[in-house]
Amino acid sequence: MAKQMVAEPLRQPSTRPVQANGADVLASIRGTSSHRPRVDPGLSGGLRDWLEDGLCSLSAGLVTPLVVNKQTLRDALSDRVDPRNTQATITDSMALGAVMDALFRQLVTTGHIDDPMKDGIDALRVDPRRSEVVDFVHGLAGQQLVDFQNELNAQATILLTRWPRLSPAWLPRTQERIAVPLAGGDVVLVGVVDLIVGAPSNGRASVGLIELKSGRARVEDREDLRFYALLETLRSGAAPFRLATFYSRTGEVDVEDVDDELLTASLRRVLTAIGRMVEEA
Amino acid sequence: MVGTSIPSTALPKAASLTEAFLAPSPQLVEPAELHRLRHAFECELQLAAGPFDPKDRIRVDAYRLRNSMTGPNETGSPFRWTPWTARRPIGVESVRACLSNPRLTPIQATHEAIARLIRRADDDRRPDSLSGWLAGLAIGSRSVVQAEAVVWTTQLLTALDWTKLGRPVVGGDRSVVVGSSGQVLLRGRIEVRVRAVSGDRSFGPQPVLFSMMTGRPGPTARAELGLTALTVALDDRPDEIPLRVVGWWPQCGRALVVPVDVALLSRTCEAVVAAVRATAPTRRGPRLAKTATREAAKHKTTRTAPQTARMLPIIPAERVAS
Repeated sequence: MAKQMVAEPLRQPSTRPVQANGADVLASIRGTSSHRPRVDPGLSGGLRDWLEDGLCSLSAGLVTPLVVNKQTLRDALSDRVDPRNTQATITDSMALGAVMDALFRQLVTTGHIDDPMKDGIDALRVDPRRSEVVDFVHGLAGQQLVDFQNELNAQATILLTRWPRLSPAWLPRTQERIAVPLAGGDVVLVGVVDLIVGAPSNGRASVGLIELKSGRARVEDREDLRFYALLETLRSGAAPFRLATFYSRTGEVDVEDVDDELLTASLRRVLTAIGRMVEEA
Repeated sequence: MVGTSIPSTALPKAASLTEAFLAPSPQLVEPAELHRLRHAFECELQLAAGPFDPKDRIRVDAYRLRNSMTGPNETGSPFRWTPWTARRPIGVESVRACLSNPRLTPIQATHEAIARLIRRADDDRRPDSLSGWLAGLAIGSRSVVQAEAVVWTTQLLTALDWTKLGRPVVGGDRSVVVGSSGQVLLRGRIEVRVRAVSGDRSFGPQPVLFSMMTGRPGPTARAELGLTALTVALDDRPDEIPLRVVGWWPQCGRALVVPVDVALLSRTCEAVVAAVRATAPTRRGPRLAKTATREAAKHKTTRTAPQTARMLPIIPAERVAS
């Protein structure tokens, strides 16, 4: 994994991402089903109480509702930008990420990608919030356009050859939105998970969260998924059993099992970040 | 269990949600009370709709009610099909298919539903039809529509324990024209309707309603659910006074269980009248010092939510859901 890049002390990944074929990716996402932990029925409520208690002392000066997502967390912890004034300018890598996300969604849902550039842009075009990305790609010309298309085709090929066909019985659903209101709705933790698999828990952890990344592996990638694991636990009452990041640039997959320690570390990170947002407000 | 959430610790969640959905309950609204409420409501609506052209039809749905209550009043942009507006009609069809064929999964069901709709496009040449819109989409765009429908379908299929529901009706939205002028159309959105045992011997099984909502419960959630109950109650079908309406917000895992009593219907009537007044074209309708629906509520034999319902585990509901 890449070096630690955020202010918070992080748990070191136990394993490096590994390049894998489709069967290996499938096995690493699924793990051993008999080893999945039983759900602690008090964990979700305990985490929620912890967050509510922590927010009691923080939320006094907030402009509400404070919407917290993976990017605002990163920004607050790295002191990179004032999260209130984030105006992201579209870059090649951001546009590539958006198109790859769309292609991943298409592959999981329909099982095929015909023309990466056309399919990806058509998918983004139907979402008015992505018009800036569509405009950016349409504005590319010359060598910049060639480089973009080459990288997109290369990553789409890796996706098609390495990403496994998931059984529909796993109930794969893409870009599912999660919103957890706290402090009476004054703070809302939000996330959009690239892929969730597994039926809701019946007493044993049953859900896996997967993110697709088109860039290099970074420590923050795991932090994003840990944040989503926290959201899923708060929403459903059951922690997911596993987190996985698929890197379409290399075909590597990075997996991590979810335990109480991971969730509480993510919770502390959220409270630290919100504390900094309040200080800057 | 007025305005409370299902406890987040109860697993499987579908079981506790289904239990709350089907729990026996006495009928809280007598037909005579509903008759008085309907009469008062129609009188007020007639006044509120006065400024409109008699040929106008005023549609009040959850969207308009929410806008009216949260203000500033928005006339709203014209409806158009998007992956987010299309996912429900496709999802309803897919859920029905999955219930009738348990081997079918959401991905397969949505694929078939979309394929059926596209085949229908040749027959349905209305420019605003879902079929026509889908048929005109490129593969990439259509995959987004299917992906959104898969999420919606999965959320509804996993929300409830369907084995416990007797003859569920999926997607039975109700539209009711209120008043003699027929100007106001109420639209109630219902994802699932079944009949549950009424605790009152004088009534047979009564409808209970389930609505799957987007986002998180806001300050208008009760009124939106009340509108769903009101449309069913005001429909002319016999024995159709619902016992309760359950709102489910899968994005945040919250549920709101609202018993249907005269107070809920009365407040919802007031909200509908206010929504109609707020959209009046030239002038606001006459402001009543004491609304007729409140008067109707006074005549009722006061019956509140049953004590047994309060025995269900309750966690502090967030402010917006209370």
